[in-house]
Amino acid sequence: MNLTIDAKSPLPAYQQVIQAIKLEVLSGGLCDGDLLPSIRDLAKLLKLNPNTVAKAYYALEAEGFSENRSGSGSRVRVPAGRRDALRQAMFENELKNFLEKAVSLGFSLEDIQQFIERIKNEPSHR
Amino acid sequence: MNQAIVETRELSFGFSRKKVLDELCVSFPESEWAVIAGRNGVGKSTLLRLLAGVLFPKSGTIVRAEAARQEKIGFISDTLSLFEDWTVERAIAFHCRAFAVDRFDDRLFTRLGLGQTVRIKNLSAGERAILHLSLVLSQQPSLLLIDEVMHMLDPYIRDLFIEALIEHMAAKRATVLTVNHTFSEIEKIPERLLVMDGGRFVVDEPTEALGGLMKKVISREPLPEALPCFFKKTDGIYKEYYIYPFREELRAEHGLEFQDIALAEIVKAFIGGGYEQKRMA
Amino acid sequence: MNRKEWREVGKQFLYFILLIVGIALLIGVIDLIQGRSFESEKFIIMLGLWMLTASMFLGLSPFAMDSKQKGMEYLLTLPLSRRRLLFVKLLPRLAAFVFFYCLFLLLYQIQGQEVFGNLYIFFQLAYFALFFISFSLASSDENFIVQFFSAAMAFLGYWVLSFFTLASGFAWRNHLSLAVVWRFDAFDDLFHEPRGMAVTIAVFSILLVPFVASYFLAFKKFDLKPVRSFNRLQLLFFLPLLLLALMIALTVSVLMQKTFMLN
Repeated sequence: MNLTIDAKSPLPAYQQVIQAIKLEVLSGGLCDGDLLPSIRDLAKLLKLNPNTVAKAYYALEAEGFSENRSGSGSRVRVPAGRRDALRQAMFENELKNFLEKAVSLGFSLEDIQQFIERIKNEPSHR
Repeated sequence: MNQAIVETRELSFGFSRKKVLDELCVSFPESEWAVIAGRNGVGKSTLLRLLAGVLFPKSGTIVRAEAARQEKIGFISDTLSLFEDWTVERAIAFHCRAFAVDRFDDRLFTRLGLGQTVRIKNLSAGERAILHLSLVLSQQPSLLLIDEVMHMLDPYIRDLFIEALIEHMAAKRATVLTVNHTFSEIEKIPERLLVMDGGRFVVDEPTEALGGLMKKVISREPLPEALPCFFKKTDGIYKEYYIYPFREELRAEHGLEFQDIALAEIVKAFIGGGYEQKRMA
Repeated sequence: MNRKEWREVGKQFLYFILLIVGIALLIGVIDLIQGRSFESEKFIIMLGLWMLTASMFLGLSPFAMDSKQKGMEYLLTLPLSRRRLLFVKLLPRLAAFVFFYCLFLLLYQIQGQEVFGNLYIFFQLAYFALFFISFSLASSDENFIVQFFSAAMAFLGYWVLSFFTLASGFAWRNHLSLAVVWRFDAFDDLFHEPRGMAVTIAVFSILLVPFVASYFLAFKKFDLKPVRSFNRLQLLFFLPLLLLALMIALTVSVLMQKTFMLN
C-alpha cells in the first residue's frame, strides 16, 4: 500500500486517505472484497488521528466504495462500472490541476498540445 | 453530540499578584486530540496541572465528567515527576496498586530493552517518558494530559510514543491534550489547535480549517495594506508574510502566490504575532 | 500508598532504634573503661533527648522523601483525596511515635517512675507536643533546617502560652497576680496531684489542637503553588483557632484549678 500523507497540503487528511485508497483500488492493490486495514492500524501506520481515518472510512462507505459488515471490518466494494468511472474522475481531476498550473505559468493549450506531441515522439518514452 | 469530558468555567489562576489564567473558558469533548501551543511561560503547563488536579484554581471551576474521575486521568508533567530513587519495578507495582490496574502492558517498555531493576533516576529522558506513558496508559484513561515531553524524545522513541497514543485513542475514544512546541510527526494528528496568550485562548480552531485560513506569502516588496497580515518576518531580503484570515477571493484580488503551510508554521505565526502585538502595545 | 509509607517509616524507625542502642552501648563502654557500673542516669538523659529528636523528626518528615525524590507532583495525581493522603502519612508515623513512648514507659518503669518528678510529666507533654506541632509544620518549607527551626520556635511559643494559661487560671482562682504565682510552692506542687495534672494535661492538649486542625484544614487546598501561599492559608486557619483554643483553655484552667488556703 502506497500511502503518504502530505502535511503541507491544504487538503484535509481524511480526503488524502480517501484519495489514496481509491488509487489503491485503481492500481489493483485493493480488489473487490479485500479487507481494509482497521482504523487503529491505519491510524498508527499513517500517524493520523483515528477520527480522521474513521471519517475517511465513513465517506468511502457513503460513496459506496466499502461496506462495513459489523465485526469483520470494512471490505472494499468495487462495482463493475464504478472502477472505470473512478479512474476517469481521478484522471480528469489531475488533468484539471495540471492545466491550471500550466496556464498560470503562461502556456496556452496549443503549447501544451505541442509539448505532448514532442514527448510522444521521443524514443525513450516507448 | 459529544458531552464534554472536561470543561473549565471562568478559570482563573495566579499567585503573588501574577495572573496566569484569566477567566479561561474551554471545553473538551470525548475522543478529541487537541494541541495547546503558546510562547514559553504563558500558562500551558499550569492549565494542564489544573485539569489534572495537581493545582487548585484561584477562582472559577473545572467540571469533569464521571469518565474523567481522578483514576481515569493520565497526566505526564513536563518534569516527568516520579519517585526517582525507586526501581522501575517498584514504580510499576506502586502505580498499579494506586490506580487499581489489573494488567500492566509492558510492551512499550520491553521494546526499549530496559530491565525492571534499573532506578528511575538512571533512565534517560526518553526512557523515562516511555515509562511514564506506560504507567499512565495502564490506567485506561479517558483523558490524557501530556505536557511538553515530546521534544525530549529521540525519533525512535517519539515514534513509539505517538503510536501508543494513537492506539489508545482508537481503543478507548480517549481525549488527548498535548502541549507542544514541536510538531514534527504529529502535523496531521491534532484535530484542534488552541493558542494561549494573556491567560486565555486567542486561537481555538479545528486544524482542518486552519490550512485554509492561513497562508504564507514570500515577497521582496512590502504587501498591500488590504491583505490581513497577521505576522511578518521582514529582516531579510525575502520577507515572509502570514496572511490570516485568508479568503480564496484574495487569490484573484492580488496576483500573489499564497503558499500552503503546515501546522508547525501556523503555530509559529500565531505565537510570533502574539509577541509582535505585545511589542506594539 | 500505605505500604510505601509504612516502609519509609519502618526504615526511619530502625535507624532510630540503632541509634539508641548505639548510644546505650557507647555509654556502657565508657563506663566500663572508667571502671564504673552502668550509670543509668546518663542513659535516661540520652534516651530523653533521643525521644524528643525522634518525635520532632517523625513529625516533620512525612513529605521529606517525596520532595527529595521529586515525586510531589506525581503524588498529587494519585486518586486519593488530600485528607486521605494526610491520614496515610500520619498513621505509620503515629504508630512509631506511640511505640517509642511505650518503650520509654517500659524503660522508665524499670528505673522507677518518680525519678524526675515534674520533669517526667513535662517531658511527656513535650514529647507529645513536639510530634504534633512538627507534623502541623510538615509542609511549611522545602528546607529541613528551616522546618526544624520553625518547629522549635512554634514549640517554644506553645510552651510559653500553655504555662501562661495555667498560671493565669491559678492566679485568678487564688486572687493573685500573675507575677507572683511562680513563687508559690502550691503552683509547683500542682503537677503532683491528680487534679493539677488533669488541668495541665487539658490545657496543653487544647492548645495543641489549633496546630493540627489548621494543618488538616489547609491541606485540603495543598498543591504545587509556592509554599508561601500554603503557609499563609494555614496561618489564616491557625490564628482564629488559636484564639478560640486559648479562651477555652483559660476557662478550663480557671474552672478546674484548686484554690489554696493562703496564710
